[in-house]
Amino acid sequence: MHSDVKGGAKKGYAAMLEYVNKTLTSPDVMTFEFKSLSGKKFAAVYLDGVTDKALLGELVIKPLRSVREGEEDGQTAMLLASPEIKECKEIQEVIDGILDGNAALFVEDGGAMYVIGLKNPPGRAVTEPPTQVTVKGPREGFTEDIKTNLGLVRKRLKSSDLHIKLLSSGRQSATAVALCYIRGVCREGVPEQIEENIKKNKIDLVPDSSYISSFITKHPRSLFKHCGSCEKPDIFCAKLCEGRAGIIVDGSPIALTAPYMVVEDFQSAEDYYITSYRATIIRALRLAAVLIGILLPSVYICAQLFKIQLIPVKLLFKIASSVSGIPFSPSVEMFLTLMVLEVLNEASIRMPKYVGLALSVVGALVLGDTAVKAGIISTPAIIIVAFSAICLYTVPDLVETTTTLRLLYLMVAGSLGLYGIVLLTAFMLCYLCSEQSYGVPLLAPFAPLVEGDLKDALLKSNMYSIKRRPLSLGSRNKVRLKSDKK
Amino acid sequence: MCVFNAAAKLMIYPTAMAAMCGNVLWLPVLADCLLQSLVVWLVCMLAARTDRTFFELLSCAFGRPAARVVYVAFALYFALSAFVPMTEQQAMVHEVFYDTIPSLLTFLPFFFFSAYAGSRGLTNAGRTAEICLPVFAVTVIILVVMGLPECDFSALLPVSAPINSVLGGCVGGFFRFNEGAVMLLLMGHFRYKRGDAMKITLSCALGGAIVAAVCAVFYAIYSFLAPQQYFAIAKISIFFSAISLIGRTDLMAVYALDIAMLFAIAMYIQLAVYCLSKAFSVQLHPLYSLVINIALFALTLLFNNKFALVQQLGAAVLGWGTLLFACAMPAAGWLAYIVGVKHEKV
Repeated sequence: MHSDVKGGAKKGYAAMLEYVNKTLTSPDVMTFEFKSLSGKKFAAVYLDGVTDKALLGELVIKPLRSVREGEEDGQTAMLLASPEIKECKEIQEVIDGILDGNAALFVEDGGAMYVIGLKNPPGRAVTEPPTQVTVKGPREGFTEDIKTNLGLVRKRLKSSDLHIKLLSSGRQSATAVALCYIRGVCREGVPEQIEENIKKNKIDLVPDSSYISSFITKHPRSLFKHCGSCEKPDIFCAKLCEGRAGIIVDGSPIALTAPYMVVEDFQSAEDYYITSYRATIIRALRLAAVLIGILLPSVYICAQLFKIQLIPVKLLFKIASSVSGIPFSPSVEMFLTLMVLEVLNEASIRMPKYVGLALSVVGALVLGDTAVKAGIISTPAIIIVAFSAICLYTVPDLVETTTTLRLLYLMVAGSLGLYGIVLLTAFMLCYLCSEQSYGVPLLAPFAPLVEGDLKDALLKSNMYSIKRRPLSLGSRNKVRLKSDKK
Repeated sequence: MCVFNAAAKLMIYPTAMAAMCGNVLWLPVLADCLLQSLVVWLVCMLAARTDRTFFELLSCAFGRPAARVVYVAFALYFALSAFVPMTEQQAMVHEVFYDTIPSLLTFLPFFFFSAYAGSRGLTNAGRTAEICLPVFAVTVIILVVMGLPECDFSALLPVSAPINSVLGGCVGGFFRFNEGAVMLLLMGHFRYKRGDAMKITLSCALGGAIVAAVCAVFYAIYSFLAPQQYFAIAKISIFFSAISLIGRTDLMAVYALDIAMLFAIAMYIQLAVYCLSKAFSVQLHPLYSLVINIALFALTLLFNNKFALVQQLGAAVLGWGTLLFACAMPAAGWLAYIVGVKHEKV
């Protein structure tokens, strides 16, 4: 019988309903059968907890129940009050619709099937994202619901050129993925490439956008990102307007953007809401902080082990007095301190909030203070590791990469010394110079040098002087700010 | 690339020039630099007239086998050109990067970097040059500014010296100025725009001027002791008054400058790999880079602790090579262009 039913809608109301009930056997799939005043039978199938039952009653059941003899002329859809109705020919479409959280309606007479958009999954409200907090500027952040997120984007981009393409990824999860771009602004070929990459992947489950990020990257094993990410619709829209394509994934509050350039992680949304002078200073500080964060621990141990002249004499005496009696070599000491920091960091993120407070006290006071007093690790090592950690968090989007790099530098410094640091830096630069994200070099606009884009790279010029979209992104429409002057 | 190529000339070259020419050490630097700038300008003029690469010009005029032979010779020349600054880098690493004397093993990771960079191609060479140029400029400025308070520029006077010593300096340092050969190989790989010839020539001259300025500051600080001071760039800021308070922070600039030096050396290997892949008509292959680096590694082992010998061989052998590849070959490029045009007309 099932093979007969799979064929299409014209197999009869009872057979369809039976097939759906046999296919979807879980207890949260509810079937509600009812009759109209004219005696016509209907059945609504929906997922309990995902479909909005109140709306189902109000927009579907109530109007259909009140239909009297002779009031309907065979067009059930016209009687429904819901604005989102799709008539289905295939039973599989109906099943997909139910699993997506919508309600399915079966009509006895004629065997018509409809999927009615009544999805209302549990979710949180639009709040300020914890990773991109701003003092000035909008505070709205993406949520886990793709519809809400697309709404937040639409709210800011009321353009007919904003193109949203709905895709699906994940063989089992069938996660909705929205590919957004502005026609005529986005770099040619990028949306098509992204779409192809998403479709090519046949993974079971896509629970988060980070999965999509690894699908659409040419080098998924690379230490460096090839895809930008943001949690705020204002940043997302700004990136679309610069000529990038954006990806919103259902179930993830983090949206992706491509092509990606390393410099964009050094820019924050707030830079555009404050004076350009302040923004430039902050960007330079971020770059300096990241460099210090990565290099300080390794340079410190190199100075101790290989080139003591790097340390000023007075400071050298201080360090000498505090490291005397420490049972470990400088590199092992630094490595252990960094490990403790990483463990504390990991534990404090995963721990419940109230335990986290106790953990901070234990970590900072008991472990740190006691270890120094016991002469296991030196005070300068703790200061350097703590300062390095603070520095790296000035650019939170790069923390995954920078903490790994810090560890790598530490190992090289401990074994090869300063020349190892120089070689590793040269190697990293060489690698970064040859990497691209959808045809855009990762180190653009510095390598290759695109002079026009330097106005909004590390330097932040006045908004009125940035008249063009980033040339590095190869946007078709290059003008961002139209001048009134003829 | 022409400017930051000067980074490779800041290790031993100022000391060698001080030994050869005394207080007029900057004169041969400028003379060699001017000659190369002229060659670079001629190559740019050629690039303005044709979009073809040097290989295509040679193939068109003298046939593909001839072009292949020339490119294999170019590869050999660039590989050897990398060897002298590489040995200087090795000595500098031992002297400047460590308080103790490290083993040869410390320098060996250079070949991993070099093999990787060599396989990356000319686009990568251009991009790394763009990143290194500001690093090179800023660090040299910092080091020179730190050295200025201790300068006694009267040590550079009188600006007269036996012509033989200046000529000797010109000949001795000539092998370090091969920008003409570099430009010849880059020809056809960039779209020539109006004014590019002037820009590129001035860049080449600026690179030479920076080296001359460093030489002058170096001699103004150390005077007749300069020939005994190896690795001038690491020595010129040593007397800066704040060093006792802030430590040898000038060394951080030297280390940063060393990144530019590394890329300047890697550029020769990248060019050698490019020449080989052109000569054998294959895609850029990591194997070529590996082979060149293994050869350089073998030479390093062979010439370990024979620093002076490498310098002498460099001046003697590579000087002729530079004359051939950085001066005669651009002329051959023009000849090939004229012959090629005639062929096309026929």
